[in-house]
Amino acid sequence: MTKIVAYLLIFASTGLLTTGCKPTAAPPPRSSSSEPRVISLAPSITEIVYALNGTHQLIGRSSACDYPPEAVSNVPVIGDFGVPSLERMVSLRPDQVLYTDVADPMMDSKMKRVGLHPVHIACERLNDIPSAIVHVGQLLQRETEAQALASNLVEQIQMARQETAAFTNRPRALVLIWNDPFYAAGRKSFVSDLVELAGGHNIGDEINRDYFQASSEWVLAHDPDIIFCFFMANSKPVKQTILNQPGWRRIKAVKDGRVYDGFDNNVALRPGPRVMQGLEAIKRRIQEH
Amino acid sequence: MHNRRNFWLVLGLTPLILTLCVMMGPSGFGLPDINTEREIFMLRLTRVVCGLVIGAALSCSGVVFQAVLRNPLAEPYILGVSSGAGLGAAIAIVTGISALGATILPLCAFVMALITLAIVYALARNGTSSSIYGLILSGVIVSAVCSSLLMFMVSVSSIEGMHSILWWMLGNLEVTSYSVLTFIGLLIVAGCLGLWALSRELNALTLGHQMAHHLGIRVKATVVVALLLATLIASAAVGVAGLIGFVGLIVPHIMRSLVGADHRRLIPSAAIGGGAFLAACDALARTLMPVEIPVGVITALLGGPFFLILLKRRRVQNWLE
Repeated sequence: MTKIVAYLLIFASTGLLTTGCKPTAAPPPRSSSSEPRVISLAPSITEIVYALNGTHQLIGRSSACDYPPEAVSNVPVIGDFGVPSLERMVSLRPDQVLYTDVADPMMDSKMKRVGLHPVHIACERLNDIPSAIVHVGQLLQRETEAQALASNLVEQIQMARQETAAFTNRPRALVLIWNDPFYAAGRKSFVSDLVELAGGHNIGDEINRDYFQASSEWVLAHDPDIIFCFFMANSKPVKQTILNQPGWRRIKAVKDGRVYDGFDNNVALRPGPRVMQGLEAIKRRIQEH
Repeated sequence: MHNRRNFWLVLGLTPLILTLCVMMGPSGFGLPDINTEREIFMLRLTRVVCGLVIGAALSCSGVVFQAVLRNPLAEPYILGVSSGAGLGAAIAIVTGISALGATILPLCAFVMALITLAIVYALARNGTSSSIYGLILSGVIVSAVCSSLLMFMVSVSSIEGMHSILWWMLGNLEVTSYSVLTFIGLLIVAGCLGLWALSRELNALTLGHQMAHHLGIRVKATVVVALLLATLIASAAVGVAGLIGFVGLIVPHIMRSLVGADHRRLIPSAAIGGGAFLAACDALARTLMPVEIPVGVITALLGGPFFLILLKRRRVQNWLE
């Protein structure tokens, strides 16, 4: 008797296999135009796509791609930043998948294996942004817009650089991106480029990393003139977190009241087309005194 | 009699569960059309096969560890395989060699797991033989050392490196290449068959090593061979899928209460049932939420309560009898 039940179960399951049924989500129809359709796995790339007027070519995004909300909220999410779902991407049938960084070091080969066309866009530092815009523009077949945007950006960066190049007395700034534990921006970070361009000097530059854990002693020893806080305080105001650190009251930045918070982190920490806005926000604080 | 019925039930339900797994995915429920959605079908199929193989390895390994060590809390990672593999993966990620090819990360993790096992075994060897307690003790110590080295690697890596190491540690059944899956799959199948062949010896060992000796079992040799095979397949599983917890601890207990403690039946049903269990957990992991959940979360959430229910029912039964 039990054997019969078992055989029935096997039979039933093989029956399911052969009859098959349609997945509920039918793949979207191919657009009639020949414009390439892409998936963006990084917020900075999504912003570039938007800046090039190519949002209609964007058919998938990561959950971190949040700007501009009105333009991207209808675009399907294919996973969190760095951890896309292969199946979701395949089902959207993109021409290309643009990414900057993924958690799985083998994601590129996995994407290729399932027939996707991944393209790595280098967009980590300030100088990467114009070339990333040109690269994305080529992939979207929007070269003219991209060239215009990129050269405009290069010009603005050049102007900002000339303006601050003559600065001899650069205020020494500490950039904190996390408060528990304190994580500071090092020489390899994007925000370090911005501080430099805004006329300051990032004290974290002596560490050859992107971000690093900064001890209280290290901060006290470097006695920064300015502290930028790019973290979200959980309950207390951000400045209060800094003031409550034992011994931090004698830091120059704290004594002079030059602890700044309330930045739009997505502008200041994201290497994208809104870089000049982020630069302005930092520059205003650096040149305040 | 119940045991026999349950054994056939496990065998019969497995194809059904696996079919359901292939039908589940983030892009929609249903069997993908082989002609138009070949990629999606292959993606789901390889994940189900991978789940089956990894689940089988972890469960069989857990069964053997619990039998040989006669400890219900024993599990496949007890000899430090997981920390060793984690260290191997972290080294591959931090040095950047993992990006060079699809097989490098699993290979590094697997090789480091084997090296760890060799060190544990060498440390435990006392003259010519090694005792079980020596093995466990050196396993715990080597595992602790590997964990600290892993923490060191995490602390010096960039934000992206940390992200990658954490991603690996959470476990993932997406295989990089078919050749890796084939190689590891064959290794695991061979290992499981080898352990199955030791069923009678394992049965005797559960009575105690002295009793086994009197039954004519070569205790030392059996223990070493069984533990080595079990650790080998666990290393292979960890190399491919990262650290997936709970399967190796819970599935053996569930299967023991379903089909009995006779290893001739327990090992095949743990392999098949454990594989189906992990494949099902993975199917849930990729469909429950818009964003994939680590499969280890599901194995713990599902396995824990199920195990408690079985335990309670058995205790009630025992009282009634």
